[in-house]
Amino acid sequence: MICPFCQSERTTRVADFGTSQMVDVHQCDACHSYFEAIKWSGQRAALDVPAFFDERIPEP
Amino acid sequence: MGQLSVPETTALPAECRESLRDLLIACADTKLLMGYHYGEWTFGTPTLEAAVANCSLAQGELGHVRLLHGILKAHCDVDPDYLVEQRPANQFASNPYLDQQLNDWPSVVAMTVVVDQAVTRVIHALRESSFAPMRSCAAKLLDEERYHLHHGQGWLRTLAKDQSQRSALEAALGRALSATLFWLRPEALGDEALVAAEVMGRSRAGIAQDLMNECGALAQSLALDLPKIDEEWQDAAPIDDVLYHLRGTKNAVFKQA
Repeated sequence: MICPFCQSERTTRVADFGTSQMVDVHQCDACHSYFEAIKWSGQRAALDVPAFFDERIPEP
Repeated sequence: MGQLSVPETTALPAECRESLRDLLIACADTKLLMGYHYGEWTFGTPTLEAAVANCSLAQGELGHVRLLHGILKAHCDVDPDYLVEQRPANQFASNPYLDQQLNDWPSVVAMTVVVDQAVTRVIHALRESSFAPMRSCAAKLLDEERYHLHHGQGWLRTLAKDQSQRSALEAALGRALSATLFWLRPEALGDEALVAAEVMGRSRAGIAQDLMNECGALAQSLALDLPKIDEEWQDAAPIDDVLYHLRGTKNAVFKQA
């Protein structure tokens, strides 16, 4: 995620939910600003979830 | 799967229509009750961050209820207002884990990890459904549920490291799994017909097995000792206190204003 304030690519995702459920919260490691980002706007965050989300359904 | 595109339930085989309606009501009821419990736990969480998350999880679940109720109204001739406001408690088809108030934080975490995962697996089984209205909204629901389960599993790992929380966590997981396996009970659900018509990609019997495997492996990785599954679970209904707050009974008079 790119920082909207300083455009650094060195950012860290710090919370699953922000001010609404469709955003998560990040912090820029360069300028230390916090910012929110829409969750499904492109790259998919690496999440600790069961594998079935990305699996095809096994039964015919 | 799914070369079919069936816009209306009337185009489905007769044996499927009732089963599909009941399946969607079971999912909507479970999400409605989860929305209530997440909302209740907007305060009282161990951290402010968890409070913000629960508020968002409640929004998410209630939004999913609205989507499912829209499908039920448009395609299954079901009145969503009746489902929420007037239906007798014993006709709710929600996961029975949600019938009572959740009195501690491990019980809330167990709800996310087990109950939320179970209904999400059911939605996943509808992702490529021949019933087009469900297929079109399943992807959105699954995208949101990724964050629900990520949040729940994070808290599970946190509580599992805390010796003072482990026994309460194990007990809550045991209750959640017992109730959820009852909710997914394979008999008399008509899933065979739904799978045969490609409405559903996997039966609830299969989903129950997948859920047990997933939760068993997760518990083992955290050295959690899951209690024996209670196979004698009896069907019940949301208690009056839950339904009173869920329905806003005391505020019903304002609807007529």
